[in-house]
Amino acid sequence: MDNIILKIAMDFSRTPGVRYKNEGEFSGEEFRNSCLRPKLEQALSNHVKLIVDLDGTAGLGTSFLEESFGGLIREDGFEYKTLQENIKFVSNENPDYIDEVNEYLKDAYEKKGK
Amino acid sequence: MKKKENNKTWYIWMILGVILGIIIGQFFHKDYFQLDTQISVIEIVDLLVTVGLALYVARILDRKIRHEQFTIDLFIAKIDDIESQIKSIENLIQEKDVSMQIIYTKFHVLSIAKNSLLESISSLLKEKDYSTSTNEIKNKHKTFKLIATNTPIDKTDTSVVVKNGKGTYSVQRISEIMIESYALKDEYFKLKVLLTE
Repeated sequence: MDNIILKIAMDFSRTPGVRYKNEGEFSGEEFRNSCLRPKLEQALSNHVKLIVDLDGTAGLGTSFLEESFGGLIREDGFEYKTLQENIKFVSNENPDYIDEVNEYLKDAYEKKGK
Repeated sequence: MKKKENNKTWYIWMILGVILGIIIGQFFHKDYFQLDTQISVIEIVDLLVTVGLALYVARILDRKIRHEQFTIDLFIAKIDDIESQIKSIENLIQEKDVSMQIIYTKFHVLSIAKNSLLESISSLLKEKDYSTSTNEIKNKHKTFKLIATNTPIDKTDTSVVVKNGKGTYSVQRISEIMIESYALKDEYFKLKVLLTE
């Protein structure tokens, strides 16, 4: 099976929103629960990588990214190493997002360890 | 009025030049000056080549300098545009019930503009200046975005209250954002100085 591709702009929304579902539409919490985690579980069970394409949106706020990806460690209990090895981030439009997401994953891992 | 004054100064210089020419000319009538009235073809060619080269170099250099100045002006205009985008974010976060999506989009556009600028100025700065300046700018951008678009994980934290996708920032958070945006603008000012040096 080929790697699984998750394009936020196509599979979720072109205008991703805030952190929590009760704060508004297209939140990070909603994205993690309805798109990201199911695709990640599918990728892990098929031993393929999950490619997350961050391009095509009208902007990704810190809370959305942190809740989506940091939340995988904080809320869903995924191991940092598992995420590092199995998720690949892509962004040609704004590569800063890749650095950001990697930082949020690391932060969530470090905070969980404390 | 100014043009007339310039013309007047020009005439004065011309008259002075003619007088100086006459005085120098008088020396050629003295014995200790020998004026050769003949000139060889080689000397003429040499003279013409020298004058031609001087004109050519002057024109090419002038064009190059103008081109460099134009490029610098272009980048400074780009920095001005980035600064005005930062200013617009500063204004936006002070409003009540501001659309968080608009803030995210503004940061998205700002980040793309920053990346495009930093990529294109690399050839204009010394390597050390470029790497110091761009690293500082990148770090300040990161902090600025973090403080302005990170809403609290802890739901009891009221530094940014979000409802229906609209947020209201606390006075303390606004102050923190303003401090970071000032620091970022300061880095762009330093970059402008480097570009004009």
